[in-house]
Amino acid sequence: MRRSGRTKFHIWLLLPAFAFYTVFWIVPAVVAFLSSFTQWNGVSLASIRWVGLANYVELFDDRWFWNALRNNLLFVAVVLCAIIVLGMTYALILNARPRGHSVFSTIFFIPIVLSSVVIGLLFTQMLSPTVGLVGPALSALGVPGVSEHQWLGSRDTALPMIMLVYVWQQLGFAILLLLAGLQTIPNDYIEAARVDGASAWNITCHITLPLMRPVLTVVIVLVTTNAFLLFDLVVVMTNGGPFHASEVLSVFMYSEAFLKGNPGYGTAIAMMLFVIVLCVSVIQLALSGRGQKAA
Amino acid sequence: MTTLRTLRALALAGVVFAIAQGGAMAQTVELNLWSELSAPPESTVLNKVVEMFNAANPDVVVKHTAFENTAYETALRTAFAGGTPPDIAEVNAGSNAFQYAQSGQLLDLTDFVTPIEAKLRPGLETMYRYDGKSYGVLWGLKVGNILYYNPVMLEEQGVDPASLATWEGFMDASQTFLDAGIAPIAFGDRDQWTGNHYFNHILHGVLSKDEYDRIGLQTLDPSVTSDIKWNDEKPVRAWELFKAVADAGYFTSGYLSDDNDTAAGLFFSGRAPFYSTGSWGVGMAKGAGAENVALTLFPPVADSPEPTAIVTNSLLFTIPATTKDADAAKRFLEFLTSEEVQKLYVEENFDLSPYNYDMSSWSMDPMLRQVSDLLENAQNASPFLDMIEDVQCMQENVNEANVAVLTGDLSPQEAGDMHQECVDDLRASRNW
Repeated sequence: MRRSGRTKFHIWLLLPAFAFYTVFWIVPAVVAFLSSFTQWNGVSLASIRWVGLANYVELFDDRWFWNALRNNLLFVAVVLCAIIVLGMTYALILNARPRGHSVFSTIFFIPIVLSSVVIGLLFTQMLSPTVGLVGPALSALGVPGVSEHQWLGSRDTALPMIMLVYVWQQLGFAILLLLAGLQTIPNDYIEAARVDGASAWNITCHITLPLMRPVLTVVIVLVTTNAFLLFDLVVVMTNGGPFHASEVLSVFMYSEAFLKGNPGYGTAIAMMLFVIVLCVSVIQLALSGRGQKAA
Repeated sequence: MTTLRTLRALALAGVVFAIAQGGAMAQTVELNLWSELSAPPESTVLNKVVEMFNAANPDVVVKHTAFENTAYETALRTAFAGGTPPDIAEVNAGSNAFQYAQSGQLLDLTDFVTPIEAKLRPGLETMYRYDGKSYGVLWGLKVGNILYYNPVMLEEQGVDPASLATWEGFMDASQTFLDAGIAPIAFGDRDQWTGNHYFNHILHGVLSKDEYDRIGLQTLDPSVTSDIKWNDEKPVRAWELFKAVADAGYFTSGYLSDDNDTAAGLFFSGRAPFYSTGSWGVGMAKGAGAENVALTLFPPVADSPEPTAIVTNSLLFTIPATTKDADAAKRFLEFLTSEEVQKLYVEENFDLSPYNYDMSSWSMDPMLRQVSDLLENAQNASPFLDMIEDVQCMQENVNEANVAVLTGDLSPQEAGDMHQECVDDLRASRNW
């Protein structure tokens, strides 16, 4: 087949996927972008009013937007650190293949196959002061003042509890990727370092981690974007409450667009979320690229 | 030869029959009916009603499409926005229906509904009348302000159920249980609507029907104004009474983190003596196999202007402006309001009828019969506040604010001020 004929053939092969992508992703994204400059009731197209940047201006004056953004940033920072540190630690341990490592691997991976809604409901019941096990268990261990504590109904503990559950849920996936990364590191490097008298700590810091950088970058970007887009777990566990205490941007967006009947304002929040996630991902990729060059 | 002649005759007869059938089909109109009644027993009843109607009306074929509850609103909104709504649509009565009416998407059914109103229970027209026009007929009726109690637990603590006739008596009874080491009121406000309903019922007891309807409708209907402001003494008092329940420790300990199902479970399992929900609680009690369940009207304050008034909810069947045949659709709506259909609905659901039929001979669960008696004795009825207030003010200032009042993030006065500010801004933005 000649080169131009082959190119045409490739284009024909790509066309169905491109059409699908255009209809179900690009067109809705463009419509959402345009919708963020409008106000309408979501019922009648005749009610659509072009308001320019008004939704965005209102957003910067909205204290609940800043509250949701702060919660989101805090959430991402905490769960990212926890997942990376714990994930790397467990992956290193499992990579050493200690006795019973396959049992532990299975235990870590179970949450991956459970839906967020199921996990959310399970922990909501466990943390409930009326029907849950956590309060009585902590009381039995001698922790004072927790038997009737509303873990998900208190401003101080609602978001940390969601973080805890999220880390538990996502840790297995991070371990899976990091373990796969560890297993690609050639044994020769490690053995050569051992022959040269390097300690386990030195081998981890100077050989394992630098060689794991590409996998770590993937894990960091995935955890960050997923954590920014977190929705279902929050809705099931706290519904963003009590009084916005655990509200993140996606929940705030849903509330504005669907519960308060402001689809235009809701899509403006969605656009901001998109820009934030895009910026954070680009910065992460740029930093990791620079690090790779330096290494 | 004879065989050939017979075949010819048969062929001719077939052609004539086909033409006749075609003619008959051409006169038959097919109407699409959409509803969120996808689960038994409601779906079973509606499907039966559709069959009954189709059998009695050979020129009309109603086709019912049922959507799962949460998907329905999105599907209906999308269909309306795209100009392809069904010929007959079931919508939540009140603010939801008014949104479609406001956008000119529903037929004005005032002339059609007026004769039906003669058999409607008083006060319910608020659920379908917008800007002086009527937009549908009601099907089924739920009573919202019900207090369920455990008579055995009350007897053990020496609490007379008659003392629950007023809010003050209810609070005294709650204190008796608290003194005995039992958190008395099963309540979970995680999803916010439960706190909304509590505040709703307290407010409903504090205000007269006219005040209550107007304070809500002023955000939906340009022709309605309210003398009462949200930051006036009466609404603020309702917030104070609501907060006082939490401050006194009467709610079960997970009141901010538990959901309604958990709270209901505490009551049905005999761990709390009181639980408030609507008449659908009768079905919940049966489903949970709970014994020791009795009910009374949600206690109004002692100085309530209308202490027997009820809060209601209903489904509305409307006709979108694009319907294929408005007359045929109206016939179906009228059929829904008939005694035959209402009897079927009540007997096969844990629900009541919005129409004034004599229900004494209808077979009903004894607890539902009790709710029916409350309905009969009611001075009047009003919809839930979230059915008559614009969602833009309702969501933030009742659903979210009720949690904020309980956590102390908002004082009752601040909740009232915020709500009034929203109402003023909303009316100003619409030049009302």
